[in-house]
Amino acid sequence: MDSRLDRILRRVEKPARYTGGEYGAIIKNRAEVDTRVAFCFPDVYEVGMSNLGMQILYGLKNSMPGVWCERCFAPWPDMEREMRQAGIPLYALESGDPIREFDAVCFTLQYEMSYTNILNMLDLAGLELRAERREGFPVVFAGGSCAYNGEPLAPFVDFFVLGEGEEMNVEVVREIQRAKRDGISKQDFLRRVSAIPGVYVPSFYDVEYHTDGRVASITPKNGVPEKVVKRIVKDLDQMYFPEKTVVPSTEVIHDRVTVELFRGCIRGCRFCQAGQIYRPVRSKSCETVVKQAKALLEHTGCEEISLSSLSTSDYRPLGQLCDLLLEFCEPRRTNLSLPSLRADNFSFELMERVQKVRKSGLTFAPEAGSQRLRDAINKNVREEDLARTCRIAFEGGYSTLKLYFMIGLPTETDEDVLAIAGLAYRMMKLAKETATSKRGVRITVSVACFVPKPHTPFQWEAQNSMEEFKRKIDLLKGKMPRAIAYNWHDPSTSYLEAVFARGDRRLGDVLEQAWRDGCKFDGWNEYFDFEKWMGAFKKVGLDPDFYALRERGEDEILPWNHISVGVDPEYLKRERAAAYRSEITPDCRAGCSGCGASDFLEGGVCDA
Amino acid sequence: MPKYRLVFQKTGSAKWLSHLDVMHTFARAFLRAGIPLKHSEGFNPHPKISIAHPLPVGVEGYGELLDFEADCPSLERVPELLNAALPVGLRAIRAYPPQAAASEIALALYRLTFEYDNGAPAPERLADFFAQETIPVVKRSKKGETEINLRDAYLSFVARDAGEGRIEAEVVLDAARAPVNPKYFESALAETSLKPNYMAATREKFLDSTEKDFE
Repeated sequence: MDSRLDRILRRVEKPARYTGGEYGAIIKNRAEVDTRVAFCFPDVYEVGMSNLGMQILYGLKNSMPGVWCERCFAPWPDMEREMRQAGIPLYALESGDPIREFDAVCFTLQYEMSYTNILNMLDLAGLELRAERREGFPVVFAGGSCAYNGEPLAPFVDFFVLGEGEEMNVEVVREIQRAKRDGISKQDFLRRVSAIPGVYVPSFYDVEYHTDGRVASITPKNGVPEKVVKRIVKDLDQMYFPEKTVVPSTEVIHDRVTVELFRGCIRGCRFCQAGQIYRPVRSKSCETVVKQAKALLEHTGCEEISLSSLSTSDYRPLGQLCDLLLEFCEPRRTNLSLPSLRADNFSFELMERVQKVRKSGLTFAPEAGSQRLRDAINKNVREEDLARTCRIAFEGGYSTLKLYFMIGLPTETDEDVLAIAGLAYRMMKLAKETATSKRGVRITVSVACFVPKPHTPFQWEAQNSMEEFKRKIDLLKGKMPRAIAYNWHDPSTSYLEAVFARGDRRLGDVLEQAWRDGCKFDGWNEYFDFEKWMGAFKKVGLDPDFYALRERGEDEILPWNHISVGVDPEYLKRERAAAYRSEITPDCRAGCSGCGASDFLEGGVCDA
Repeated sequence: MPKYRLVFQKTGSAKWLSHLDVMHTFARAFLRAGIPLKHSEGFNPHPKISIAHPLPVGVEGYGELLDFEADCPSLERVPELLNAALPVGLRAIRAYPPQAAASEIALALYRLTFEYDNGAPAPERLADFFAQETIPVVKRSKKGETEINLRDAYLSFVARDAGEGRIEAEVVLDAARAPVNPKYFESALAETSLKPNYMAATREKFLDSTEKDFE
């Protein structure tokens, strides 16, 4: 490392974020590499390094001969300032080379509030922001869950990759290798890459608008399909999985090994985007999970392993899996953690086995306070189940309980909001009667503001206004027992999330304006500046309420109309209607509700 | 007396790791290397490793000492096994059963490199500066700011011209009583004509009270 970087690193917080050199980081010989890829995570190192998807795709691309994939994170503003002052452009961690010299720059889109960081990283790299102004390579592409409606980023990226990346990324990178070999133009490359299923080139679709701002038409050109359908990997046991990962030398958010159990979710909660976009349900076998877990624990030396999925307790062989893993983990003093447990099929006996030493705490997400509203959102958890689980836990010595809720859900009344306090009160009472922990039980209630998301049954819904959210937060505050710790999310962040989650590509101008006005790290309280954002909307002449607060007609052309996650819009409409009748839909295991996602699989049967 | 002692280097990008990062990284590296560390008893067991006089962030070290307890297959193979499991910049040199407790470390030899982008002053001027009786610097800590006399923190300061606008100094620092961060040698010059553009610091080795290499 040259002293130019040392001179600035000594002045920044957590310099180890910017040096690379971790165990498992892949260094290749430049002479044997013809394609350089920068995998960019638009947030700070500790957040990005906790992301399983990044580790998978990093390993995958580096498994390709001639390809060197490196990591790049958003520098924290102190480092950014120093880099700009010293004239150091954004560089990749492995080689230290500027990413503007690479062949591809790709971003993973995890949440809307990281969009300004993407613009900032492009600028810091010395690249033009607008795709149309960048000629030749590197090409800039993006994937991840926000890519299912990436329209606000359409002006800045050359293409999106939709769906699971394990197969598609290989095809895309091969196409980049071929384009470089053939020496073709970026336009010709985009034509070629658009033929790969799951690749969406926004500039190949013309979008027109009605005078009121609604989308009038989305017209494909250059022979691209009318609908781009996301990609999935059919067989998770055969799928690429890195048994060697990069092990951070410095503290990160989730410093542990993560192994997926299954993709998709049998539950179909109507507010949940993940529950729709990751369909159909496919599982890894117990043997595969154990094999990958052991390999990763041995490779990393981590002290903790976490099993990941949208609903861990729905994994059929969970008990058997835990037994097999504990056999390996206990002698190594490795903790096994089981996130995303449901209160209704939670096995306490299992939890006890897993958490032999530390009785950390219980966390559940009933999402709504009243049974009626829980039925409307299809969160089929009953209070009896929650109470039964809590009772056993309290009797067994657990001393903390966290409950997560949402406000502003469709069909919600003030009565439903107040029911959150009622539920919390009853759990508190239960804790008083049954707790064996000397310290009693500390109960925390966290309330988030509902953000309607594309590709869900609530994609047409209006979001509550910020005033309405504040009123509900205060209403609940007045009734929440004092002994309960009560937190809530800032409605202004949720409002902007709602704007961009269902935004169209005109919002690209707002993103750029906001970035020019200094917005970045909007997901971090210390940097989020709502007034700046509102100023940007005003300057550009777009009304954020139009995106967040407006109920869409079911026949309206939505900005993501040409994107398919494999779920039939008619199914979404049926689910929405059921919500208004407070009717539940049984989970996929109890009966298929015909969402359409099973068409991805041979014989049209998913592994619910 | 600890069971074993490891001499290691912390250089290059690894110099930006904090003490906690280094401890954590070694704990994992031992596990990856197949050398199971002994753990403390109690509710929250932790691996038995300790590092003598942890380096400040940003300073390189060539003779750092890590005491550990483990079931070693062969002490000679420990460096080789560990090096296959360590990140860039952390390097195990040798492992041995120590003769003296780390608390007997008295002094540390540092190499300070003062970089001057527009030409270095004569090394004698730096030597003269650091030969003064009183060199006040403001020491910042969590408790606040205190003024100390930097001169109390070192025994000797020998400077030479290292070319390319650099002056290299060998400094024997008191490691036992009130060790200071070598960055104060740079800040002491901040208001003078000798102010460098950058100063890099390296701890070469530890010494005992007779200025012999500490084992």
